[in-house]
Amino acid sequence: MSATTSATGVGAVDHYEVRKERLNTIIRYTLLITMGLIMLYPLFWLIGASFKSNAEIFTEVGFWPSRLDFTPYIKGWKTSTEYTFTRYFFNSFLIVIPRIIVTVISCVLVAYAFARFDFWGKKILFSIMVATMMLPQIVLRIPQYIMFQHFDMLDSYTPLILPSAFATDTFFVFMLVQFLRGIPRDMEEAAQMDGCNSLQMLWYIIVPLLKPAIISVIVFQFIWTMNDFIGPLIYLSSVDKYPVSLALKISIGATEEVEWGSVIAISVLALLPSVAVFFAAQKHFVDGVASTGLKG
Amino acid sequence: MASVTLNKIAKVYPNGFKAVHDIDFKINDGEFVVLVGPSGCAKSTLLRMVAGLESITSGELKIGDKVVNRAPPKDRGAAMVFQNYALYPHMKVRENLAFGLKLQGLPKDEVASRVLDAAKLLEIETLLDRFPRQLSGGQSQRVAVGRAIVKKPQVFLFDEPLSNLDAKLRASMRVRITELHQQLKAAGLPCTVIYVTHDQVEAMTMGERICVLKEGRIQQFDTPSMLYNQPANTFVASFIGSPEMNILDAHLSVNGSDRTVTLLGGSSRLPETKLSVHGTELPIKLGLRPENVLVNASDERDVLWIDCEISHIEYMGSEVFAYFRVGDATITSRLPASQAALVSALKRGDKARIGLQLLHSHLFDAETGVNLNSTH
Ligand SMILES: Nc1ncnc2c1ncn2[C@@H]1O[C@H](COP(=O)(O)OP(=O)(O)OP(=O)(O)O)[C@@H](O)[C@H]1O
Ligand SMILES: [Mg+2]
Repeated sequence: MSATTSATGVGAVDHYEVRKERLNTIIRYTLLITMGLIMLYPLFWLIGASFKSNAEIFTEVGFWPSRLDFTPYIKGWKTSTEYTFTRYFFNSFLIVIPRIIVTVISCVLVAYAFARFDFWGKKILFSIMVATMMLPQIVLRIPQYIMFQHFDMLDSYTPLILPSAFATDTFFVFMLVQFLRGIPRDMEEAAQMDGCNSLQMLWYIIVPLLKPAIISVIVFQFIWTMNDFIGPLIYLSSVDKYPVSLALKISIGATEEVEWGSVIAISVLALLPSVAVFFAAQKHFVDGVASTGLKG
Repeated sequence: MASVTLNKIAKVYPNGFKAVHDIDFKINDGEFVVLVGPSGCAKSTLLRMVAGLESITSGELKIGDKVVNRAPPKDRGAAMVFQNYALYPHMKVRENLAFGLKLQGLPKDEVASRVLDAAKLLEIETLLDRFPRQLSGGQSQRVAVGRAIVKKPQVFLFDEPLSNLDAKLRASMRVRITELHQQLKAAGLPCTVIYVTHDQVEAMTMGERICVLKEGRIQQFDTPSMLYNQPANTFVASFIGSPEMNILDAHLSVNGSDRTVTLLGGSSRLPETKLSVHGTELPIKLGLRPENVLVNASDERDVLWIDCEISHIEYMGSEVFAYFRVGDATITSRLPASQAALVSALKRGDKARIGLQLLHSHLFDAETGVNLNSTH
């Protein structure tokens, strides 16, 4: 910033300033890039190892594979079970997609109510909701399991999806409420003058304004559900219903000798959807933030 | 058919603050009324109550002959232009204009033609396919007005619509809005306008009648010339007019039909006017507009000459404002530029002689500030 301003001036001092600024930039970037690479190293190793044989994985230090061999991928995809990973990915999406849909609908509705309506006991209800955020998920597992057992819903996807339909992902509600509070009410008042009722207001005004926050909800819920291991482990018992996270686990345990290359190759593939969703959404994060910037 | 009648309207906010105190007035069909007052005097509150965005604590609000106290905003036949425009950022200008009409369920071609008419009227046709963030302040403002016009409302409500614009644009938009009101009237579609502003120049130039508010109470509701020439009290007197009216402590002696004021060490007989005063000796506040303060001019009847010091001078182009000090009081004089020579040579602290044209003075009660002229 100041480099450009001082460069427009004249004299030796300015040259010195420019050089100092440039040096600073170089140091800053070198430091950041090094840190970034260190943090990304396990990922590089993972990708590299996915092309290696068992022997190579445990003997070679470097992450660069000796040959580009896709057999671990093919083997891994086939799995030692009767289903291929096509099935498991499909299962994952059967959980993730409905869950995202019910999460967004329920959380937006609840957040709208908390942020924009006055009702009896609102403050207390909101604090209770925030308090449940502090509650570790694990505490709820047993009662929830027993409950779903009574409902006769075990070994189906319902226990994994249904809770989200009641806005139990309080973190998302909280995030949406905070976002909504930051949006001035004038537009809603204008919409009220235009004749919107509460639901029309939600649909035509609030949801478009909330878009960036909703996209964050989608991304987080996608990644978290995709990676969720405990939930499916507890509720699902038939292999044909397993999502990717569980299938990965059984691909380690099923055979006597573990083919690490295949396991790692599938791990890499299992990462891809989350990474893809993140990058696809990234543009909208930026877009959304820019479009809510109101002009004064 | 769309008069607006307020009958003992009061507003108490949930935190117990009483913002509006029993306000009564009637705005006739097709009239342009300005609500004006300093910040925090409840102009917006009043307007929002008419719009239906704020609940009415007590009293009766009528639009036309219908009591609309509890009617939702859309059933009141009013459209509002907000201070920061409140355009929908995710819709193009065209959709912004059409949104309300679509909600009303009007047929598509009717919506399109109304949007186009409004856009032509406001010269925003070329902007129809832009998003609000791609507009300048003045353009956004016109779109906001357009969004109100397309609905063909019975009542237009404006809440300081020009306060975000620069001075030049504000002046031209001022003219535009008044013209628009005249145009609609001429076209046989008179609409009632309630316009809120804190700027007295805007109020004086735009309003057919002006309602001056202070702390949630009406001070005076009258035409611009009446406000200027017969202010009801010292608040209105000093609020309307720029520079402010001089308000000086004075003493009034009444002896039959003879009235003498004493102020700033001088005294003068007042011309015959009807005054509603009780008693013979009383302290008063004397108000005198800056244009009625003469500088070094030749003697005139009913002028009280006073020696003073000059404080400073402001050149405004066509006129000059000169500020004088007499003891603790400051007196402002407004001179045409042709007389600038009278004061331009003077430096701060120089002696001068000013003449107060008491013929044009306003007398106010010293305590209540109420105008003593009996027409009030
Ligand atoms: N929600 C509220 N709760 C309590 N008091 C309020 C609320 N809104 C406004 N007030 C108070 O009511 C009074 C009138 O407010 P209002 O916004 O109508 O003023 P205004 O005349 O529009 O002022 P400005 O010119 O600054 O816009 C103010 O004293 C304000 O503090
Ligand atoms: Mg206001």
